[in-house]
Amino acid sequence: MQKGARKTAASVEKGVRQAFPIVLGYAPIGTAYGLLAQQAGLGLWATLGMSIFVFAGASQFMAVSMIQSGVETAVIIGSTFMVNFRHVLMSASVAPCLGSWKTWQRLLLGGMLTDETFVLHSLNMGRNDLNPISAVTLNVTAYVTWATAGAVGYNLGAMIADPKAWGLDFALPAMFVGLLLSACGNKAGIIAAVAGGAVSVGLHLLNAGSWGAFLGALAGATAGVFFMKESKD
Amino acid sequence: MSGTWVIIAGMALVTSLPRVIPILLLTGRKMPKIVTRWLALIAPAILSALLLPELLVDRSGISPSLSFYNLYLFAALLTSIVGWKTRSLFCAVMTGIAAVALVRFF
Repeated sequence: MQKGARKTAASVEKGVRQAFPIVLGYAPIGTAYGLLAQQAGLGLWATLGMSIFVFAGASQFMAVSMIQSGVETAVIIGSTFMVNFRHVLMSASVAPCLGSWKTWQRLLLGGMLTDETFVLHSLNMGRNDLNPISAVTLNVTAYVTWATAGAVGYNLGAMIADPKAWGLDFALPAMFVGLLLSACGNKAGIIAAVAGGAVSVGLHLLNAGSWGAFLGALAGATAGVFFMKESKD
Repeated sequence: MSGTWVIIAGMALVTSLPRVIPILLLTGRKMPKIVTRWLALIAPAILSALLLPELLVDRSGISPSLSFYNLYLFAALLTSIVGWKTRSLFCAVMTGIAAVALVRFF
């Protein structure tokens, strides 16, 4: 094998390895989505199509229940936009490190960005170790898992009548807990997390919905930057 | 059925634009240090902003309220202890799921 090919293979392997915890998280959540979509009468292709073209967990759950209750198309699309608007911040956050990347690599990184893959990219960025092959492999692995799990859930149908009895509804929060531990690498990160969480909780108590998390993230990162500046003076 | 595909197409558009546009616009731009530092802190800030309301806000009532005694919070504490000790995202996630399943079982 040539040296370049061997290096590529190693990068691919690293991407798959890093995606492993995400695969474990997406498998049960994606299955639960497929189950709900089937119960909402979505049809296999629409269920799969939504996972393939939308690839956004929370929005898909929301859309399925809205479709089931006959909510207007424009409202469903508008709500999806609000729920997913936070990805603007993630996309902007990885952008500075992609200077040497090809356009298709950047499109694949951004187009398949999720909360979970973003955190891993962000950690790699902090270690100066964000390479295009590994990052895109990580994304694709998570993506394929998500779509496959949706199809599996659809076909399982009545077999898992109640995903909650298996604790599967906690898969996503549990993954967030684990990712948050690794994302709080330094004092500024901890400040950002504490402030972001507090503002978001406050806004949720005021019924701010999906904007709570978005504004919380802005406030948290800002608090972290101010803290770092002051501690250096 | 075609109505569902219109919804999917619309959702696909509004989920991909926020993901792709900042990367296309900002890559390769020189940004002030404070901005790149701010952007690096988005990860912990947004994770926590998404997670904490799940653990602390009770939506079962008419208006949302703070809740410190609930299954999710207990499971999250257990998950973070295991995550901290083992340094393994896999062990942490499995612990959390198992804890929730066990509590519901008994």
